[in-house]
Amino acid sequence: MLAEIRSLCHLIVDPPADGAWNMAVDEALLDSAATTHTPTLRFYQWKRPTLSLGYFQHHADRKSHPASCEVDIVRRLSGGGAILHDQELTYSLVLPVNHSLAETQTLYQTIHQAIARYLAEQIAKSTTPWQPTLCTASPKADAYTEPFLCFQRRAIGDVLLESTASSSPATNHKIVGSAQRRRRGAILQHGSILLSRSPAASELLGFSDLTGIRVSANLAADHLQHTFANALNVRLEKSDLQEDVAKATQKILQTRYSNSDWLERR
Amino acid sequence: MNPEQLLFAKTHEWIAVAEEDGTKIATLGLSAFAIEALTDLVYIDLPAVGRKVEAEQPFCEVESVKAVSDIYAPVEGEVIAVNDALPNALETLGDDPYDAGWIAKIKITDEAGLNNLLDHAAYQKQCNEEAH
Repeated sequence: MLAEIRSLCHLIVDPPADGAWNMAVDEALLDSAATTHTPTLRFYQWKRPTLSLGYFQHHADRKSHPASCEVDIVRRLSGGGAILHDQELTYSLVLPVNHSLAETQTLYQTIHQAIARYLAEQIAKSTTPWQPTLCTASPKADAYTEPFLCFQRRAIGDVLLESTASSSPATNHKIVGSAQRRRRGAILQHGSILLSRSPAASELLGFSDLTGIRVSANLAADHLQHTFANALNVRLEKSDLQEDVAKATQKILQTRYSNSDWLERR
Repeated sequence: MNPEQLLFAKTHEWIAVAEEDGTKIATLGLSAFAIEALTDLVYIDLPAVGRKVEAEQPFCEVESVKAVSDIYAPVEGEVIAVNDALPNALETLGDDPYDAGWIAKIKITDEAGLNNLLDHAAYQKQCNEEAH
């Protein structure tokens, strides 16, 4: 019997870094995938609590969320609402557009189903009433009335924790949010798994706050890389940033994410 | 406009070229296939009138619930008009992509980019391949 041959996907697991660097790496990887046609999966964390604005959000709107006004801020290349990156694990995935999963909703669902499976495994041996599920309905999208924070918005495919306890009021909490940037030749999807509540956004409860189960970001990254590899049907090969991607990252960092013109462009 | 009479970029923009006072003007929009793939549009960032654009380079962006996507200029030229009604009526892009859903008009300064565009039949073939 022939063994299944899986295509290559680079795997990068980065130590905590600042927001501008994290966003520059993701953009450099996106551009690289368009020419190398090779996917890259990356896990990373944030050196300091950081607010990332969606690409089209207004910088001035951060004032609408006073609790996060003093933390670092960066503008993402992807759309959606602002995310407070603190007690979380962040992933990014770049795919060439001809990849079988590169369609917008397909990729969103595939990755979020994989994360939901992982979270369900963590919950399996506990008595918590909270269970991961994918959001199946979203209100009519309106850029002018949506909440500022991504985790207060709902879109089809978002990973939610829902209580199965009959005594609990019908409620859910968004626990994973992702966004994409499509460029000719490649697609970037990055997203956050909210592990614990941040003091800078205490209204958002994380996985451990709800379930009582503590999961470290490093442990989650270790497990999720295998879950993602199966979902994407790829063979992961751990690597550092390629030299050309590292150079591109530096250039993007200087021209964009470290630049106030980029941050305050809206 | 009848889509069968339009030219299409591989990146899913359509253009209609007309001649006005000896100058070629390209009216540009996004194909119905692209609009459907983007799903639930929430924002469009129109280019400034007067902006110089290069063929096959991004000059405008559109955001859906999940993704931000670039819109590329199929030809080199200058933006001479934009559809100001679009940002407040994004549904027009899907409802009437080839008429009321036009995005911008470009005064063509170099026609070379036209040679890289597809006719309707070739574009449909590309869409069929992407859909499978």
